[in-house]
Amino acid sequence: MSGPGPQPPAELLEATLQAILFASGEPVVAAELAEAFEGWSAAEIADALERLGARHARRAEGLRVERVAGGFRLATDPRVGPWVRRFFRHQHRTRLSAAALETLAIVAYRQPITAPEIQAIRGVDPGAALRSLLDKRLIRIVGRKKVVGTPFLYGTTSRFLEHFGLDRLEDLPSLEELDELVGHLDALQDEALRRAETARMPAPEEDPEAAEPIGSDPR
Amino acid sequence: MTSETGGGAAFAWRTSAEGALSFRVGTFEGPLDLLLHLVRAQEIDITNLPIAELTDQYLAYLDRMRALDLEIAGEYLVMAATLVHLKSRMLLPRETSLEAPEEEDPRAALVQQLLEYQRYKQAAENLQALDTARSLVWTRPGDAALLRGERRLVVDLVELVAALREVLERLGEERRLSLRRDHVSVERKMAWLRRELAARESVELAELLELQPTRLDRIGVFLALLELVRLGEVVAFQRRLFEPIRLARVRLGPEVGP
Repeated sequence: MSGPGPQPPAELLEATLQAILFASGEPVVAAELAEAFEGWSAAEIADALERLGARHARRAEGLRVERVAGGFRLATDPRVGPWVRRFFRHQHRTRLSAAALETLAIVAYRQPITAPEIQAIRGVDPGAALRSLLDKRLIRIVGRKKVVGTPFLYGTTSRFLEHFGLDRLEDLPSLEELDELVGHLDALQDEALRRAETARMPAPEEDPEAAEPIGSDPR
Repeated sequence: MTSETGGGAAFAWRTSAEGALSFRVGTFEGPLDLLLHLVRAQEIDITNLPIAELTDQYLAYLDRMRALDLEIAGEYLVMAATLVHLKSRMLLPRETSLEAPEEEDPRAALVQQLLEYQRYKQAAENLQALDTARSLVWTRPGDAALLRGERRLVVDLVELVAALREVLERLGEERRLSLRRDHVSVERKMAWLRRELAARESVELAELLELQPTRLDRIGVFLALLELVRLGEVVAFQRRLFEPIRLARVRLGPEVGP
């Protein structure tokens, strides 16, 4: 705003950036930081932030620098998450219903998309799910489709990226990768079924693990 | 559905424990979800659906839901009709022969729909997994007042109109008996808005609207605002979710005129 201020010296650059991320809470774009400190380029600032993140990871400081929604943000380290959660156990995190998640997934992959188009895929009216997603600011109206009735077009927001810890939309698995995942899970399920079958034949050997759904590890 | 981990809710086919067709109540996300459940539970090849069998099972399922006094949404009945129709078409001798390649498989559309649904269901499960992973990460709410470039949540038209309506309702029509004929020019309001916004980093929308003497003026300012947003001169935003809508000039726009 008020001309080029004093630059943080090299030895304090990382510390300065960390302080800004701490104070901001929300993702900060490297270019905006470079705009504030004209002596440092966006690339140099991004590098410094990467170094900061690497140091956090190495020393297990309970924090990490994450790239989210096109910016950098200070967040807690998931390695200490279980115990942090224990402390914050009375604070509820809003969970999305299955209907909302399905609708959100379709919007994320097919945006911009209209409600009738979503309905064609889900086989169910997505109206209620769309409203709840709009309320949570995970999606927004991005325009109207130039067809009969000019229905609204929906797209995801940067809040969507922040919520799911994504830097860019491209960080989501591609549709081809999803298809592979479906095949993979089907194979696992087949095996689970087979095991259950054979287990039932001779003796009722109870193996609850075998029938459990596949864990929800994203990768 | 709102379980702690959430991972289990999305995976419906915990079937093997009591046999291939365990009954699940009220957790289907629609007829396609139910069909997919039937297909998966019985290891049916999705590209070669045994329509007759599937139709019977589907209808049996609806019967059981009805027996349990569950309300069955219309979409389920539409799918039932589709299945029965397909089943009858499959029974016709000409169309049952899959050897005839020129004849389109009557099941093709349904198979396509199921495959596509399955894909996005997988995508939803993937989002669910990400969400679960994120439940181990916390971030600071952030002190928005400290933010330099205030560019925050960009507001859309629906929210703008809601804000206008709120101000109009709050202020009411206080000058109904004005004799002067109103000449509210959107162009003049645009100039006024530009001046107001040039003076400050950002201004609250409600504050600007309240400066206007009449309802018509407020609407004029609002139209001027829409035009400026459309031209890319002004951005409407919130510092945080649910905070008042603020307006600011777009700082870096190359074609922005003074």
